[in-house]
Amino acid sequence: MEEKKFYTEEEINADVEKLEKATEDLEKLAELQKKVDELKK
Amino acid sequence: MGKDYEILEEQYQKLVADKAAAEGRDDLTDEERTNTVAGFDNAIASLEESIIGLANKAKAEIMEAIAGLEDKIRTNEEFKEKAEKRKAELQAEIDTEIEKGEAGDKDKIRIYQAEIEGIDRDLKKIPSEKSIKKKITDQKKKLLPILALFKDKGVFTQEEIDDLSALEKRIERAKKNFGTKDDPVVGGNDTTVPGGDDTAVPGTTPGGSSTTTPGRDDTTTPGGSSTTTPGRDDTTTPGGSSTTTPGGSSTTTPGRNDTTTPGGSSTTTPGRNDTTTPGGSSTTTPGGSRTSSPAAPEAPAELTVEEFNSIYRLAKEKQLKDVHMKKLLPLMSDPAAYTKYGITTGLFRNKAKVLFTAMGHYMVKEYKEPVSQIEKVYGIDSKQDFGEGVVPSIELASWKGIKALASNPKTRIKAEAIYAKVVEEGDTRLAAGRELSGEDERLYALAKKELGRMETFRETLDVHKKVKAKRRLNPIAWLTGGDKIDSLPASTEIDPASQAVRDSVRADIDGVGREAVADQDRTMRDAALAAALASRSEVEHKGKAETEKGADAPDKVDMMDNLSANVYSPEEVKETIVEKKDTEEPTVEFTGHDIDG
Repeated sequence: MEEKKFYTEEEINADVEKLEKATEDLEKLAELQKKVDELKK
Repeated sequence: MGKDYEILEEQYQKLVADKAAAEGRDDLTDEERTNTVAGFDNAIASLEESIIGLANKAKAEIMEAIAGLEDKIRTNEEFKEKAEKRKAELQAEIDTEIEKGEAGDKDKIRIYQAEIEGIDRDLKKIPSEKSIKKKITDQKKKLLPILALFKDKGVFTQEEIDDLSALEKRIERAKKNFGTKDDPVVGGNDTTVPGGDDTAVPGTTPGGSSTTTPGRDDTTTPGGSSTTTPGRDDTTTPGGSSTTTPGGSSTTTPGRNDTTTPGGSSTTTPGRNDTTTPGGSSTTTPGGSRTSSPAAPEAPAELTVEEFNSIYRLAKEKQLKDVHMKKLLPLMSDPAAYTKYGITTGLFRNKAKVLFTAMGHYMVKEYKEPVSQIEKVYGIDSKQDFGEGVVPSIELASWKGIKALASNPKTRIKAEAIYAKVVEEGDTRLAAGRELSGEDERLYALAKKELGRMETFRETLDVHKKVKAKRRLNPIAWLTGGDKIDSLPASTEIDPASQAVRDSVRADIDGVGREAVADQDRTMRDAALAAALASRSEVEHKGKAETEKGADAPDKVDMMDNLSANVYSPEEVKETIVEKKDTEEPTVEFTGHDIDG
């Protein structure tokens, strides 16, 4: 194996955390959007 | 991101509160909010626009994270496959060198073993697919309920929602498709990483550079060929600027027609561990710590400690092959070898147990009748290899392995020696006032019991020796009842011409007897009967042939008559053998490490 090319759990978790964070943001935005939708009614 | 929407909401609330305060009230009615606040509709529209912009940004983050995960999983799968392939290659090389014996390249073996161990270490660092999938599924559960809302706002398309709904399958696909020609993924995934969000987000400070390259080099060679450069530039700076200010951090009032482009979101080039040492460059000697004693000069030269450790490692994985067995079997009768290879680390330790179990496993796998067959294949001479005087200083091995030895006449002495060694060790300890406890006590008791049983075996062996000696002295006399030779007429003194017949018969008796013992594991008595049965026919046949040749040999006729009168009848032989077989056929199993006595 002339070169090491793999990702450790920590490295993969970086993407998982990013996914979690973005999902969380989207959840909050969804709540806000619901409020806006109510205001528009 | 969280801060962004909080600011927006704050601005909105402030707008309402200011208006209400201006009128001396705590709040506005919904109608007032709609009708009396100047520009409020615009504010709402602007707010919504901001939300959508931020949602797009979150979407980009999500897509990028997923793409990153896919890529990492693919890469790991590719690594695992290459690693296994490389390990197989290295092991084959090691086997080849081992097979060469003394001429084998020891350094090569050591280096290759180190590389294998390096690869194994790397493989252990790769997270399990299950754990990743679980995390993804958890996120998906949170994500799916809100996707419909944003689909109405044009943030997500139905296709994207479907794709996210099948997130695990997508990951699974990534795992399966790595490095294929049709789906070159190692060379960077050109389609899945958003290079920033094209949707304008009002009110944002331009964040980062919109020209940043997604976190990989799209022009690199796709994977698929083991010789191509893996499709990523390991030295590139993560695409996008990690210092970008999230869109929306501006304090400007919503509603401004700001046309700036939101910050590129591709800020997360997967952090590769490019600086680590490739597995295999290590020069540490594998398994060195397992060897309690350094190589003794007087130990057999044909198997080095490194080679032994390599074989031992395979034994642990029950992956012994023919070439390894050939190396291991001679060690069984070589006490020096046990010291040399660090097997004798204690009476009841596990190393020999692992070896015996693995060897037994191999035997059972390759041959249905373990010990006898393996002796045949490897040409073990029971007397030479397992004879008296060869008391291996072995710690107790797999009890079943020893029982297998005990079940075969050729190896019983070996088993007896092991039992004796255990008992001796136990007696020594007890004599020294040390108590035996736990497994030691149990094995000591078992060994004593087995040793008692061995008396029977020894008696059998003694009989065997006596019979064998007599048979060699005069096989015909043995066949015809031994001492009756004296009663044979003088004419039975066989002339030189019949010597060939006699030799032939003796050879046949020996041969048949050995076969019978090895194959059927009968007692020597049974073997003798079988031999007699076969030889009688042979003698008759050969004697008749000699007679038919016209030889004047009344002695032969007498001899044959005598045989007819004294040799066991075929029925008698068969009955005896069948009877013995039904009741005494030994069964030997190698099913693991259990010690059942």
